[in-house]
Amino acid sequence: MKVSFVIPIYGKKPEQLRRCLKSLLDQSYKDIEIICVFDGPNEELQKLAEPFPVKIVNPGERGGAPKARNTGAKVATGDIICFWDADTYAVPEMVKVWVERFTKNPQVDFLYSGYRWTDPNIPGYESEQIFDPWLITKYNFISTMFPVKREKLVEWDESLTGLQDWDFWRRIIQNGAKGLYVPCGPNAAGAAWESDYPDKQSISGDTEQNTFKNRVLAIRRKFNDPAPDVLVYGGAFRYDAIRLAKLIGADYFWNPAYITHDYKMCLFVGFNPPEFEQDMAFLLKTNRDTKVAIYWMGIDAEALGTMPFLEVKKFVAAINRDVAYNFCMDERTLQELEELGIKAEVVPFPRPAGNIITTYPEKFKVLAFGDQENNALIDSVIKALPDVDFEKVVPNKGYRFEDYSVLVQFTVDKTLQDGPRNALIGGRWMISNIQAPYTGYVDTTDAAKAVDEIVTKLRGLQEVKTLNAEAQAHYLDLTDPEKFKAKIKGLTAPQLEVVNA
Amino acid sequence: MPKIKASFVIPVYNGQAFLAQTIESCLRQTEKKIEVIVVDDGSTDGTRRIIDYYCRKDNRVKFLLHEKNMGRSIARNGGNANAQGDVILVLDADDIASADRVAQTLNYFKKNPTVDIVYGQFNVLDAVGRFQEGFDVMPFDFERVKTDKFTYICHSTMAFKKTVAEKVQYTDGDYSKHAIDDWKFQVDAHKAGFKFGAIRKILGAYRHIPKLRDEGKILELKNACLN
Repeated sequence: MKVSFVIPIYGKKPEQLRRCLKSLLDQSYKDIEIICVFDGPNEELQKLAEPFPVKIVNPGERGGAPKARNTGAKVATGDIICFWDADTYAVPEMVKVWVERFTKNPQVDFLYSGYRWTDPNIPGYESEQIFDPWLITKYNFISTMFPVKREKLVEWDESLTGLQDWDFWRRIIQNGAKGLYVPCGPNAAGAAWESDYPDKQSISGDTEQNTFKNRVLAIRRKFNDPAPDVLVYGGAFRYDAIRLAKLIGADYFWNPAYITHDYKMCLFVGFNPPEFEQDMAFLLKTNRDTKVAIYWMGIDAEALGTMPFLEVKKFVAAINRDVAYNFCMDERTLQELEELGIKAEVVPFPRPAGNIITTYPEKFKVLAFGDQENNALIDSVIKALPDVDFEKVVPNKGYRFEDYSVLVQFTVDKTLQDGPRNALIGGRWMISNIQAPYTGYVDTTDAAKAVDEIVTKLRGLQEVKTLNAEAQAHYLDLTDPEKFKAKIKGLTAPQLEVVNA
Repeated sequence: MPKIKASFVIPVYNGQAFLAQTIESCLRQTEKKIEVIVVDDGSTDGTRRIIDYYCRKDNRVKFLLHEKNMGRSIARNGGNANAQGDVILVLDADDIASADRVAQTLNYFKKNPTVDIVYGQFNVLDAVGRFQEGFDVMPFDFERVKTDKFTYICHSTMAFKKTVAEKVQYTDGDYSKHAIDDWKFQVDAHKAGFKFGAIRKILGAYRHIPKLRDEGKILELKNACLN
């Protein structure tokens, strides 16, 4: 497997180019070719490059990086093409890791990861660890300098003045190419390379006027992106946020610089103080008519409650001033918010897409979970029923609800979180100290009575040979994604004004 | 079949929550030549399923069944009458026997042939089995019982020779209803001339489940048999 590196060269310092070429030629994997495309004549750098085992392409005039990359790609002979910059330095073994991953995953067409800057004071970029083709239509998370199979390659758009990399990867992914996040470096971000932080001499020719917003707008126009009414925002609960955004056809990004039009609603998923303070201030400045909504996930309301008194007061005042709607998952969070002085409304979080469990195990089996506080209670129940098959939940082990008849859960947190709720959606029977429909509530104040009650309930369930269809129907209805969609739609629909005649 | 050396007698009424742990503690004994007699005193909960499970699992477990709830005294007397061992070990259906309880008990009787009834140290657990505190033993002193009204004997550590059960019965009626039939049995055994011995070893654990008791009536009953 041959890997071609195409490097457009313009206005870089000799020591940068030398270090860049060395980082590639020193790779342990040797089946590579390097094509240096001079974007406009540069005698000094060409002289420096010539002694290296590289191909030199010199069209003789300046045409910009995208054009130089296209020129280089035409002469490249590798199976894998990687566009590279002259101020970027590969980590050792990078190409070896890439080739291994391509070989191991033949269905994958391109690889990507995070990167960092040579200046350790500037935070690197971690990228998206789960490849999601939907996400790339919202913002770019793949840098130029990652390898793609030749047959999936597209030409660089020479007419764009910025964000050509976003355009490049969007078109590659639009063609059905599959990406894979592959950390290479020993650091946390899995960076494959490090780059000098760009200065004014950058090859893209940035100017003050050519703002980021206009460049985003140019790409969105090029792809005919819709301008949805809702922006879902939030990094702390990103996968929940992405799920909601997809469901209601909203935009999603974590960087407010991507905002190009006025949204009717900005829905924060999870309350994250720094996001709320900085990003919402930015948002409200640019989108004055946007209604702000927060979807409280539960743990965030709890966290806010434990902050210092003055901080809490400050945030609650800001929320009550700037936030039009507060939604939460359950009654308990509602109550918690009320105690903080925030009026909210319960809107159950829509269930994840996926198959609904319809099977029920032939042999009665119980999944039992107790936190430290309730561990002795759970142990007592398990010991009381020597003839019943129990599986006690231990950390870092996966459990599939379809393997069990009953979920017994006793924890200090008495909210109906995603886990037990998914058990009910899956039609499992439940015994718990959660007060919600079909949770099989048992009061634990009198422990001996609680053990007896749980044992009695389990004995009764032993005789039941079918799943809890009532609970399943109830929670399927409650968490129906269409309900959530309708709720948001109702709030963002154009309001008819009543005019007095 | 080896000769049964000792018999556990466990009366149980609606004891599904903790009976399994109690039976397990008997089956874990270091002395294997035992029998475990469970007297189901007309339980209406899952108790029978636990008993059935252990009867199938271990043939040392036997059971007596009362169709109707007769009270714990009658259950105990019935269990004692059916015991094949020369020594009967008392155990309530939510308590735990230490693994060497039978061995310690038989050893004590062997070394002290004049003693008829023994009891030992014990731990107190909360409802779900967490250790609360430990209790030491004191010698049986009837003068103190008369003033304190307590025998200071943990019933679930007590054991006696079969000959005691042949002469002394657990008393039915109010003593059983107010759960002082064990106390009455100890007093009656003393009155019948049987000798007590205290074992300075932890013989078991008592599960403390708070219950409402009519202390006034209990005192009245105790005084009635002491005077």
